[in-house]
Amino acid sequence: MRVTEGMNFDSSRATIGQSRAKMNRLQEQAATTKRLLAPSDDPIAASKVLAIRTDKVNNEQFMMNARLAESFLENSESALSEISDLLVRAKEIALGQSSGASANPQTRLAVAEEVTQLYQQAVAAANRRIGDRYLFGGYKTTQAPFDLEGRYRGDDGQMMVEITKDVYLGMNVPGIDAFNTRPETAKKMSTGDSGSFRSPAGEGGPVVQNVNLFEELQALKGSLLSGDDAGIRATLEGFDDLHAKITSTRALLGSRMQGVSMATQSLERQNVTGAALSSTLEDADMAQVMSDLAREETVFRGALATSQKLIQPTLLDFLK
Amino acid sequence: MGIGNVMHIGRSGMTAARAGVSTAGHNISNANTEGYTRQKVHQASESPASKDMGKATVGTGTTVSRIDRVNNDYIDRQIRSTGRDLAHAEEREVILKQTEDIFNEMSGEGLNRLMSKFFNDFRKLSNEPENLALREAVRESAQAMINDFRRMKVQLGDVRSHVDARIENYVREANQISREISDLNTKIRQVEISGGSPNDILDKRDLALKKLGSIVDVSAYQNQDGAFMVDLRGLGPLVTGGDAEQFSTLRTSGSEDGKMDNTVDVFAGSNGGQPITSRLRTGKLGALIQTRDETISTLSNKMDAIAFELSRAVNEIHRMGYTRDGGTQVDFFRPIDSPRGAADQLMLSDAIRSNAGNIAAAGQPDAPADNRVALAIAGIQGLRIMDGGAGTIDDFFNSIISEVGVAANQNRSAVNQNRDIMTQLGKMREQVSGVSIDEETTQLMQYQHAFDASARVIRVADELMKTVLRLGE
Repeated sequence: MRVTEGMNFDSSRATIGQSRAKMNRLQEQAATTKRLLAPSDDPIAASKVLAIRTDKVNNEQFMMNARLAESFLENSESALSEISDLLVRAKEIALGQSSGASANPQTRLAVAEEVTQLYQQAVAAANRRIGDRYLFGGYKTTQAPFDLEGRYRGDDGQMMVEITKDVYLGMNVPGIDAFNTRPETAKKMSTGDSGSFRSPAGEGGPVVQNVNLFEELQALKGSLLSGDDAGIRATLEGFDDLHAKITSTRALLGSRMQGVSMATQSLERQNVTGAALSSTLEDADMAQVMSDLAREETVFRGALATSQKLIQPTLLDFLK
Repeated sequence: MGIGNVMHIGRSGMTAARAGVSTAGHNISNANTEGYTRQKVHQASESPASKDMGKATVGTGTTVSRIDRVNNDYIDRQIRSTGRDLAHAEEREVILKQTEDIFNEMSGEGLNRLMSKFFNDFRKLSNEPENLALREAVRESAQAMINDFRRMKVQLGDVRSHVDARIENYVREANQISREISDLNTKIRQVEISGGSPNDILDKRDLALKKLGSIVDVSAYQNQDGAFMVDLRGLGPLVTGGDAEQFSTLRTSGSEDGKMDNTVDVFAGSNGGQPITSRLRTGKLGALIQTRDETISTLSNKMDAIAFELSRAVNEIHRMGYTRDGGTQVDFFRPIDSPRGAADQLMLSDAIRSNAGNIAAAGQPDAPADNRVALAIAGIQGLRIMDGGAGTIDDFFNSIISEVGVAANQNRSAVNQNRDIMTQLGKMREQVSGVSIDEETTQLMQYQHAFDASARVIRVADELMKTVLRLGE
């Protein structure tokens, strides 16, 4: 085989060039700790990594949504628990004043004053808000849902939040549902079909009806003032029903909160799995990179050393 | 046979040795010349003159019969075809790298993130539809997303015009090389007619042919009349002996086979003629045209498709919603008629641009916390609206990224593969045609000795002559 100087130089050049290119690539990986620097490094992994990133960003948003829903639900729950307490007190009063034995017009007048207090407390709790947003007004969160007469001015809008992908959860309970045991009397004014888009959501129609929590309290107060024993007794059943209603609403809120925290946990788990997968796909195995680099350096030194041997003296050196 | 003949024999030896020394010198001096093929002196003994010495025949010296190039046509042809494929892949690599950079968001911002942000800002708005600041955030992130659509389209356009500039360059180069080959053909013909061997001109032509072959797919052969022909494969003769055809370029409108508007078309003939753009598929020109009309064009169309479907889907829902002030039937994006060029046309509608309060979040008027429309728009992220219901916008965009990656990745393998083959072929060619300094030095010495010895023959003949002359004294 004829071997010419040109071949020697060419192969030295090629080996050194290849070795340098490999070292350069490894050095990039070492410096960035990433295996995937451009989509062409691993096209399938690149698109997977992007999908995982989107999921991560979305999950973070879902977690924020969940926190918001949680605070909404917790605040609603505490308002309801307050109302529940004052219903217990109202029932005590009604019980105490319904039998003529322990009651007389003076005591009734005194407790009527307390009932007025309870009523005001109830309105305040029903008008509870977070920041500027009223909790129990349905979609009408910018105005107090109950006026001083206890008339409901909100609607029955159900605000949904996405707590995990495609899972929506109502974060509010409209006052018309929360404080009312006679939903059939709360007739809604139909607004017709308000839209055909694919969104899970409540009805949102305007409602004009008193809520019977306040009616009952008013009735108790009226009966106390007028000394109507039968009227006072009549409110007892109403308070029981209301108490049961509010308890069941609180149970609903509780189960929603549990749903939120489960969703949050599953999001956290997803994030961990996603991060692990994404790391396998795009992160360089540093131990591997460093050992590859060391090996490539040996190859490179070898190439340089052989080049020195290859560029050996020619016959001319001996023809002197 | 006279003593004069002995002198002649000596002289012929010296001439041949001088030719040998010259050729070895020529080879050494061209050891590093690109495309040079080593030359070899072929010597033959001169036919004997007469039989004046009884039965024995005395030779009459030597002659240089020819000086040849030592080459292997088969390897040269392979080098040409591999060189073409390598040039194709290398040219494509440059363009694909630029294209990949546009879509590379492996480390940093990119459309994928901006689209997620857009949808998540709608989610934020759905959490607190009463909040005007959140509407402004939605508008900002929509604008950032629109800007990135534009950026990608503009950069794709830049790559395209870069490709066009290179096409024009290569066409000029191909024209020039064709002329050069036809000139060389004429010179070679002249030398051959006068009986010489045009070795170095042949080398030049081989080199020119190699260069031309890396730009377009050509085949070279000799026709019946002995004229050297270069054919553009599948399209007919490019060089016929001393004549060369020319190409020309012109910007034309788009065509069905993927060519975009206002890009460069290649024509056969110096003054327009038949367009041959779509038939150039190999070599550097083919690489450029293929990358421009297939890869970049597809990517650009897909970006348009995303922009079109996104704006259509968002508008469809947004129009059903109610703004802060109770308005409805408001567009979010300015409506786009067709997917063609949609990514360039994507922009916010005037209503949204003038007032972020015109972003509709509610499904009914007079319901500040109604978030149904905002939720529904955020939900578009998960809807299969691309490709006739085959995938979500995210899926579709991610598949574009992996498409770019696959193209660049495959091409990189092609480059490496062809480079390896080329190295191997180069070695094979060097083995046959390369200049070895050692070998040439040996030749040099060999011919030097021959020269010395031939001179000696002349001196001996001279002495013989003197002896003969002294006989008469």
